[in-house]
Amino acid sequence: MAATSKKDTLRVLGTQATLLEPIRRQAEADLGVKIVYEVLDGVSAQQKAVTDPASFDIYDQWFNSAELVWTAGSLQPIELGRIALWDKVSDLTKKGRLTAHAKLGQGVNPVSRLYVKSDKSLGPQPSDWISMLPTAHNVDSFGYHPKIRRDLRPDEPESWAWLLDKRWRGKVAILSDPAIGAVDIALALQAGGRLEFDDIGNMTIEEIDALFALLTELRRSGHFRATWSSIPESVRVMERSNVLLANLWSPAITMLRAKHKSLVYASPVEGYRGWHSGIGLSSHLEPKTRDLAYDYLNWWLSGPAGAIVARQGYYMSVLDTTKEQLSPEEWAYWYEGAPATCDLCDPGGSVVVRAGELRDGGSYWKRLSNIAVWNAVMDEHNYLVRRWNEFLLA
Amino acid sequence: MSVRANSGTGAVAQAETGAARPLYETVFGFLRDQIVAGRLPPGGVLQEGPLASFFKVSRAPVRRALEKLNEARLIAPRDGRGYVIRPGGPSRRSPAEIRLDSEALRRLFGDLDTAEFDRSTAWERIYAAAEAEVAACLPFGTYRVLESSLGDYFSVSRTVVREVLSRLRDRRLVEKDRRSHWIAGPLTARMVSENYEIRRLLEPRALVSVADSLEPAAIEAMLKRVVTLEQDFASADSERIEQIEEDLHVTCLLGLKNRTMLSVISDNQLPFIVNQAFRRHLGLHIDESIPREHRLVFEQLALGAKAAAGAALEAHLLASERRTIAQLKVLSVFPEPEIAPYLLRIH
Repeated sequence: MAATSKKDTLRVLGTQATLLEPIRRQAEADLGVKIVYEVLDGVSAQQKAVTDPASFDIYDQWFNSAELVWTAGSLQPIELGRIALWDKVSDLTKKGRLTAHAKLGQGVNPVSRLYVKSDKSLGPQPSDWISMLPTAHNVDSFGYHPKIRRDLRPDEPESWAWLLDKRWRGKVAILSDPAIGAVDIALALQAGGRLEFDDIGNMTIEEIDALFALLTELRRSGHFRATWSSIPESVRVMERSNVLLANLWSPAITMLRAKHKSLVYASPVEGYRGWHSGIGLSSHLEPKTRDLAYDYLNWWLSGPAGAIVARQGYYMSVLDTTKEQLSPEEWAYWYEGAPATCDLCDPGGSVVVRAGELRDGGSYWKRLSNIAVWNAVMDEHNYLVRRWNEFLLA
Repeated sequence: MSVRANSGTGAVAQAETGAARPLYETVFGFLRDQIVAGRLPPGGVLQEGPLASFFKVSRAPVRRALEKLNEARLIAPRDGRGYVIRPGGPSRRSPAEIRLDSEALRRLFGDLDTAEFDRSTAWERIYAAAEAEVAACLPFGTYRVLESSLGDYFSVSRTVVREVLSRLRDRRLVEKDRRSHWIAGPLTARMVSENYEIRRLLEPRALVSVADSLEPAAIEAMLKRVVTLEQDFASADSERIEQIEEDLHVTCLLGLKNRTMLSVISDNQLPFIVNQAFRRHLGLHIDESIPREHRLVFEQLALGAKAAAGAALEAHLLASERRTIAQLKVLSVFPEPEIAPYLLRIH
């Protein structure tokens, strides 16, 4: 560990997904440095990383933003020789799937942006350098209020199509981040038989145009009640009694349950949308701060952070150290998909799981083996984003 | 697409004018007279970029004029780039260098009537500006080009406007929609890929067929520029990068006998709009691989290994395509820049 003095500070740029106060406090205590978090929504954090790399030491964000921020020259390669637990990082990011027979998924599988090649581009072939250190991850779907069940046909399976189903017109909220929200919408259109995509993770111009034609029609029909761009915003949106369905992230589900709002996190038949976080080093790091940054990276894999994010439903890239830091009851509920044997708390200490409850979708291995598509920054990302922004502003 | 595209246009146009006196001779004559008369002082630094901008001509004739001044021992090559004006008489002492950017040149010569150097027609005079403005908007959406506003903006007739638009269409910057509206953009990843596919088919082949006609000294000079840039990468600037790009993709191909192929190549430069927008937003950002990829081409040319040079050029174009598509994704975080008043955003 680097020798530290009182003035040492690490500035971390990222989102509410992983920039959690309990993590910041624990890291400060364990590493003896001052840690400052700059918490933005995903789109703003990515934009800041591209345009102002001197403003942060560490970038903590989704892997789908890695290529963009990397191309902008805002990150420097991470030397694997300095990552003590690299051997313990699971195959999910090293090989693209957790188990040999799991779906690889369309979209930006993190392994495709993991390793730094000799020509400084990113790819899946192992090398001694990586773009971002893989950390927290999860599979997402949509959350719904149990009362929609009365509108369902008998034995109707949970499907992404529900998000755009006219049975719930005017009661749907959607996420405004295009790299994630547009993929969810595409999954819903495809599941509902309204559009066919060759590759949902890499749409063509015609597919994007067709998607927006249908989306605009839906908006005109009054289908959408709200949009959200951050976890707290999604919680506020869902607290309105007239919103019954929304594509949501796991922490929002746990927060809403802590507030006694009943909500189901769907396990769609079509599969989940997967995402993976990573931590990158700013290209502007001073050598001394770089040592501290490596300490922070290594600390992230050492257990406490994995345990904290597990309590809001996220998984970690290193399982052994996470398991050591969780109680057996927590491990059994969050990872193994077993019924809770006691009440369990979120990272803030509120009870979010009551004894006897079961995690939606089952165990880590079961949920992770059913990824339909990863968050995606596609070849036509620039076109998609501009159409998307136009849609949001209209 | 300023430098690259204009040079491409300029080179073709120049080759086609067949005027009595080549443009470089006019530039050479002017500079020679000014140096001999002492109006351009010893120590003055002459560089292609500022001179081309001052004379409102492309770089190729300026380069040739500088080479002739060097042969006439009026100027000497300067470490790095450009030339420095030699002291008159037998003085051995090197005079202190004087920066001569286009501003300084304008101060020296006032508003010199550059008409003598300007052989362009009415549409050519406004074309570069219109092309730059249309190009700048392409990555940011779909726009309609309003013909009458374009005419008002540049104070030109409808005939001239049509000439400009037809040239923009040749370069695939605008097209007509079903309602006969002129539409610019959007510039997509697919267009970038299609462009590069055409270039990969044509440019290596063109290079192989002109290879024998390239002067060994010219190849050595271009190789040296690339090697110097690679070794001194930290001091790379946009002028030097544009220089090596022009060496490989424009200058080398000028002698191509198949003029149709040359014009298809020079009209097929759409991806540079992405590279330029990227630089405009993120500052100069040169991939270290670029000089290396260029060097591999020139090393093979210097050895007379034409096919290998073509293969190296193809590999370079493939890597450029990948870099350009990655850059286009980065542009997604930037809002639309200010656009010219004759462009109307559709979406």
